[in-house]
Amino acid sequence: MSRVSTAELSKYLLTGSITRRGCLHARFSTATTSRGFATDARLQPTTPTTPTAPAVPFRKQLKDQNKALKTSGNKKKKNVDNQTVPGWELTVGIEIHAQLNTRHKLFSPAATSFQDSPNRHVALFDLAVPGSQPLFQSETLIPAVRAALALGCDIRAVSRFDRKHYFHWDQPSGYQITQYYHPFARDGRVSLYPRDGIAPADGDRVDIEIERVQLEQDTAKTTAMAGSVHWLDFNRVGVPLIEIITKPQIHHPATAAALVRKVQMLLAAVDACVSGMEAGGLRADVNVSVRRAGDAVSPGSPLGTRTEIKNLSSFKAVEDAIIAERDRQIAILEAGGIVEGETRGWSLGSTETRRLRGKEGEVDYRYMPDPDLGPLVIADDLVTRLADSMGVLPDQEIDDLISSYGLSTKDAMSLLTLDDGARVQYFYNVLNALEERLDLANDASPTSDQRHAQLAANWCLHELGKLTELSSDLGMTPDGECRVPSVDLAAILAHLHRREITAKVAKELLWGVFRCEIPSGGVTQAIESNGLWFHELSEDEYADLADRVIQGEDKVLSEFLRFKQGKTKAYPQGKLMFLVGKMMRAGVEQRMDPSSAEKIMRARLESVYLPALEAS
Amino acid sequence: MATPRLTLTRAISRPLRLPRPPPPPPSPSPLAHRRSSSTLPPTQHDPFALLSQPTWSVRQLLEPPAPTLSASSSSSSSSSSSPSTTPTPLKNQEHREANQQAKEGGEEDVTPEHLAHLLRLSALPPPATAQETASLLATLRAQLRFVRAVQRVPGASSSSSSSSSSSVAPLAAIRDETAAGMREAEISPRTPGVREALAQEEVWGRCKRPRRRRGAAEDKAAGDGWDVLGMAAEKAGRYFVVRSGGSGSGGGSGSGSGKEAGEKAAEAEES
Repeated sequence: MSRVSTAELSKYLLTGSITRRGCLHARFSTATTSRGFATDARLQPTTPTTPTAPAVPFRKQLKDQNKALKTSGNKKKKNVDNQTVPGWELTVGIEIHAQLNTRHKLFSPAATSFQDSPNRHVALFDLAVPGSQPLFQSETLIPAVRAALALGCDIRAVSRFDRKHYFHWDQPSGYQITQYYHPFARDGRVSLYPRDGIAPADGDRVDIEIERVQLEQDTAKTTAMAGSVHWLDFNRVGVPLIEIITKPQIHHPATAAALVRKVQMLLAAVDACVSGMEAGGLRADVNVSVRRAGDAVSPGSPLGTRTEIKNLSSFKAVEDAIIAERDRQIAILEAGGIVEGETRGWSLGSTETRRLRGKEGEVDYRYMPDPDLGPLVIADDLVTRLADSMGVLPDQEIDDLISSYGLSTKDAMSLLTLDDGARVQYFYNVLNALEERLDLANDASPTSDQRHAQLAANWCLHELGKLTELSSDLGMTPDGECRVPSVDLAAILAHLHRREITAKVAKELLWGVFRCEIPSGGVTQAIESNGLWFHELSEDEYADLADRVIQGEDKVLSEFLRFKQGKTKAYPQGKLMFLVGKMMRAGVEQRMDPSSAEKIMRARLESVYLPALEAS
Repeated sequence: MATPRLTLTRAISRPLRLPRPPPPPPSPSPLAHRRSSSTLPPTQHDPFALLSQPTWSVRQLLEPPAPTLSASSSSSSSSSSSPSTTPTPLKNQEHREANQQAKEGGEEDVTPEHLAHLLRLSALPPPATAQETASLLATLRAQLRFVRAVQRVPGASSSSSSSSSSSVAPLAAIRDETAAGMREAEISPRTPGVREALAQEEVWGRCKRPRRRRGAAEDKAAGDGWDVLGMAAEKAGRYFVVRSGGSGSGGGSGSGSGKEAGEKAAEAEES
């Protein structure tokens, strides 16, 4: 391509005109006019008001816009850390509603169900048929008390039920039975750590206190149809929920999302609430308020007006909605306005919360103790019995994995969360079988080398994940078995750990087992029959290879010499690996282990090649 | 009877703070039965004498305010151990024609806007004529006067009385709340529902966590076997149909905005 003349270049940059000379489509029609146009523009300096002047170049326009924004002070700064806004303190309180895992509903003997045929499990009381009375189903206490214990609450021996009145078609009786005045559990605590995903500004640990946990009823499921018609399914009316209310002690959006995630994990671990946010079994409402950082210094100073955000359906929505609402409130307060206490909503993908109802639409719930229901009296031995049967909680399990097996925090967390907790059961099964094979069961001292456990964890997480696109395709059962039987994986890992096969061969074997080409229990047989044993080259053979490879690599050798002589600071690892790669290609790959090749090469460099170079 | 207790008190060197005075001497009167409610402090008075003179009356409290109000409040405050009766909601027709337009002395009044708000909350029709509004307001004011008079009783509500250390909780229902009654109502591992549910649990995994065993056949008797959709005004397959939009559909609009929008808006679902 020929060089563009400076005249044309300057015309383009300064006036934005391109000469059409040579353009095919404009050759005959507008060539002359555009040339004349350009000439005219060059003679007269362009002013914005001249109608005949060509358009300002787009890049220049953008630059002018930005400059104008900057001077006016409205320039949107890219907030790299959107967890804190300097000069302001955010306060968030969260209310979580979780559906309890019970067989019957809370006040009627109808069965709970999920995605069942509509209006099939409905009792007379659920539809508020006149004359029907509530009948407290005591088995609902089991998951409720376990949930409260998992959150560290004190269980009150006597609690009472209250009515919360409001009219809606999904509440047939006109009131919801809840525990407003005397909840059954109070004063709990949830501890959050950086591994749970809290904001870095919160440091190493955050303790969020739970103010109360109370039992309440769920409402019906409404499906909106066209033409403002709604279809109601009353299967869900009366299903027991617990409402978990935290104290307003959260100060960063990421911590709020981490809290909801942690509560879901804890509830699932004690079998209190097994459907998560995505399935609709757990819902969160957040209360957001801001105040200036200076006001926050004195303890007991009042918090700002709070707004409530409802209808949050995922953890990310929790974080995003809090950030959007905080920014909105700060903008209002900085402009000198007042934040109104209202209820707002959030939908995925929005940038700002939207108003659902204001103060004038606020409902007066007229809480009153329910006269049909007696007090809820929970015996001490029930609480003790449930506390003893809760098992090891997730926090403890992660700490055990990290301390006993030397896993990293990230790996431990992944193991626990994958496949609804089944993956970690699989890991335990594999580990047990592996230890049996390696005869390590007897010398299990905590300080002993746990490399085999780390190997097992790596393979359970990463190699298993490489087999299928979706982790559900692995067919992991809750007991910890999948399409790769744990005994077979243990066999492969035992051979790998003892360096009887290479990693590449091990991966091939894994594929074979997954595709059922190798029958269960036949791993060793398969290695034998296919001749896959790793017969490593001896040291002398490695040395021979190294000698062969180093021929003609004087330039590379000089790099090492320079490091040895102190002229460069870093060891030329890249060059070393280049040499190792050359060795692998030159030799028989199935019989070579890259790490031992590297070791040999490094040793020979030190002992043989560099001295030879220096001598020459 | 009182003497042994007093000697016991003196014998203990650490000063005991007794919450109530020593029990009364046994009265031969057949009406002096021991009340089971713990909220009634036993007094030295004779129950007959106490109950012979009424200290307040409903009609008195419903009378117009100002001079009578102070009198009624002083008379009601004299009975510090007033029995904790439920304040009966008043719908006495004869008091309705006491059409007071007088403003409450010093307390906030009920305006027609308040009345309209309350009626909307209860999904009741708004009053048609001005006279109806006036009579409803009068009834409401009278009821409020009564409630406030009850709340002025020392110990009735913890916020109003600063001197009394023990406040009387409002009675929600009359139940057996003695120690024995509470023990009977207690839910323990032996309660039938809990016992069955605990028996159906299994221990899962290395961490020995509890799991409810599912898959048991649902109770056919519980909740099934009656025509659920029989009372539906409008049906669509197995769903109840409700029409919203427009005001006045059973208070749907006012409460539709009042309902916390916890549900997701539209879920496509096949019937």
